[in-house]
Amino acid sequence: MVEPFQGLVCQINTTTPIFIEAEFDCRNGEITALLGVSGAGKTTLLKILAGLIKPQQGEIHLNQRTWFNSQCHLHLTPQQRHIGYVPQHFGLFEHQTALENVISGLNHLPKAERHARANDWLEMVGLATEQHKRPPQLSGGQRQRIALARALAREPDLLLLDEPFSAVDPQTRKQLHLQLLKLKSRIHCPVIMVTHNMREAQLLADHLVLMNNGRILQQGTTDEVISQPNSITAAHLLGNQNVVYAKVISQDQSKQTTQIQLGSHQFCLPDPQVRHIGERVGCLLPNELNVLSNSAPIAITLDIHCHYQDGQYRQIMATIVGDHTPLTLHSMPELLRKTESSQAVWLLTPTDITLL
Amino acid sequence: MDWQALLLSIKLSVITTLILTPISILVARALAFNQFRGKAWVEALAMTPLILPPTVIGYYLLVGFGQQSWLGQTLQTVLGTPIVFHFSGLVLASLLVNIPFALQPIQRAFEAIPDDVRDAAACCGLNRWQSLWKVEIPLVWPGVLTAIVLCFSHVLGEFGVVLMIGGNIAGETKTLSIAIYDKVQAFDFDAAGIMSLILLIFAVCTLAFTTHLTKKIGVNRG
Amino acid sequence: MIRFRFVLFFLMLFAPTCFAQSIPTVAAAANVRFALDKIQQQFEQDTGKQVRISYGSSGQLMQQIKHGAPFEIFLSANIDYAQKIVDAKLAPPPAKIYAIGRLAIMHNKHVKLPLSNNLAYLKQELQQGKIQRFAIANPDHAPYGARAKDVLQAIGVWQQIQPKLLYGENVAQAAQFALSNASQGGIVALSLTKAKGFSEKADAVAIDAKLHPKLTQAMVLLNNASDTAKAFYAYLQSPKAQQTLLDFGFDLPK
Repeated sequence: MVEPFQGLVCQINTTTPIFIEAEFDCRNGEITALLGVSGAGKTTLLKILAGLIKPQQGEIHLNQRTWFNSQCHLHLTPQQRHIGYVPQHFGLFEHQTALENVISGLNHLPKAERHARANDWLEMVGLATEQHKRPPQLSGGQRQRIALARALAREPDLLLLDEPFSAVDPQTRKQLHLQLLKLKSRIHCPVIMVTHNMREAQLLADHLVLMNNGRILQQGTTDEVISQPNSITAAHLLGNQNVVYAKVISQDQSKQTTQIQLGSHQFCLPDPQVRHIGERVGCLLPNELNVLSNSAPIAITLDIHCHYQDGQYRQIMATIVGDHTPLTLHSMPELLRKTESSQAVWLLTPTDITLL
Repeated sequence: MDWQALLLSIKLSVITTLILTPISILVARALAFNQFRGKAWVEALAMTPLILPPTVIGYYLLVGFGQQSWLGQTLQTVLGTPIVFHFSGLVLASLLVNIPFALQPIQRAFEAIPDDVRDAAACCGLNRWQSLWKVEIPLVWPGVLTAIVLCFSHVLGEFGVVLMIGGNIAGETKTLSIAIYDKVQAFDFDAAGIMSLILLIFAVCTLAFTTHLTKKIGVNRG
Repeated sequence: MIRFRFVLFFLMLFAPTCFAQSIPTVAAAANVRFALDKIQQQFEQDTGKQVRISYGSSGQLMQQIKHGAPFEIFLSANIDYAQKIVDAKLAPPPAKIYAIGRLAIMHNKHVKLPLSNNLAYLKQELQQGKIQRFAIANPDHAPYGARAKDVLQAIGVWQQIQPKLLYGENVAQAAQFALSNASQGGIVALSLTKAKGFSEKADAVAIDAKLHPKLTQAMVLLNNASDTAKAFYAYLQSPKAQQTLLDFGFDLPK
């Protein structure tokens, strides 16, 4: 007897208000990040999950309860879905105090319980002392925490966060990240978080859904997706710009390896896919320039065109000898000083290189 | 000093404002939050009284609601009294003429409510009425107040329409502005002057009071 | 406490108008205002009953009555408008002539031009450019305006004076224009010049009645007339009322 899936399951297909084609799920207690550039459709998808926008076709289920089914003409309103929603600019009620804001979401509780529940959650986000202040009197970070408390106090069946940390400064953002991580144990529903910041997704999310132009490019655990993008677009979206084109020289089907020509280098890589001889294939290379590893069998010579200091790292613009594709790499400053010449030898293992 | 005329003017202003304000709130909200085909036409229609001369409006009301018209006769059967040359006619005329004054400020105020706030209200489990009462009205209140003031003072000074369909009947349709006009024609410039001054003071006080109230609301918001 | 004040406020608003609704309304041409106001006072003193009077130009009042204005008596400044009401079956015939109106030429005390009953100086004053603006009632719907036009045509100045004319919406407004410093006078109802305080501000001379058709002022009692209205209608024809009309410069019908 297979245990029924506990969490959010959704499949959406629509062209209004924009084109969206998405299918994914999220378990109770887990955080799924919707990652993509502006206009990718992330916020629209979030609003569809909230019930604020009605898509043309699809299904949305939560814990075996159907929220949306286009075939049955079923569409529950946000009020009927019992969700927690934190909009991008928090959507606080400016005329109410912090406490009243949190109580606003508790109409489903008996009056006697509302005050206590609101107080508890304000304490949990560290704003018990500010409960009688109004939003205009509070800082951006404090307002964000009220919005979060208001959503979480409802003990919602689904928590939706729309770029929750983008409207605050970097310092406050770090504190808010910490806050959310601390609260994670208290959250028993699926959490869908929209973000355009990959670092944030890495930090907070268990699963990553990569979106572009309304479609899902790739989804999986955060580590999987980030380390193994499945296409060039995905790689770009994840911040990796280093895609170089190589030529397939030969394949060994039994060992599942492919020999490629990259610039003036040749080497062998593990590759489950069947390729044609002479086929042009994209290679995703890492961002970090490593010149020291002793066990790395692949050595690629680079022409270094310029480098500059960026924070702790040295940013480097280089090309592989025999190729013209510009590569953006970073490395520790000391390593670069060791090479006085305008060339460097990059040491890589076969798993560092992904064939697309 | 024609106290009856002053009271009549105030009565007309109060009744018109009391009827028009709640209706305008609901209509303004519908217009602000919904897009539909022909919306531009509806909004233009609502603005028409602003550009039509009051006497033209009065004329059309006379022809449209007079006892010789079907509409006028129907309304007379329904309400029991004729419309034109009666107080009810003034109320009807005032309601129609003041739609833009009531609707515009309130609609702008509703449009100014950020989408995030409305979305958050819906996701907090507040239905449309709860959202209107607890979230939206406190935010649009200055707009509503502006509408009330505009409406009230506009009706107080209304002349052209009242003249056309009122008939200058003391105690029924002889509002203060008509009384002032009447006094001038009777060469009673003193009385006309006193009444004009009272109307002016009343209008200025109303304006000052509501400005003060609006500021107070702003301060309360922190 | 606040609620109680609110209720009281509303009652106050409604009270005077509820009371007023039972008093019959009379529509009267603007020129009879001062005479009729006095007759109204006398009526109230003598009978204890009240009427409300609305003044306007006869043509406008006739239109309003046709559109259903709830007047119970209509005093027109001519017989035609009153007859139209009878023809429209809104009042039983006949239209009763209650007075013969007279015109007057007037200007305020700041204008230093002579006045005469046959307007002898007017032509000269026009040629000398001493008259920039001259007020009469609107001939289209005010009988006194139409008669004023007749006078001006009779003495042969109509072409010259027409571009300088100010039209009052009724003869009382014409008098108001004529009184103001924006005009050099006008032709108005003689009865208006008999108003209290008028002689302090302006000079007026009655115009020779032969210069224009008779201003036969007629009245009708409308179909919906109440008993009080009927009583007032009769009172208007009493000797006391007629004397008041004479005092204010009207002639009586033979």
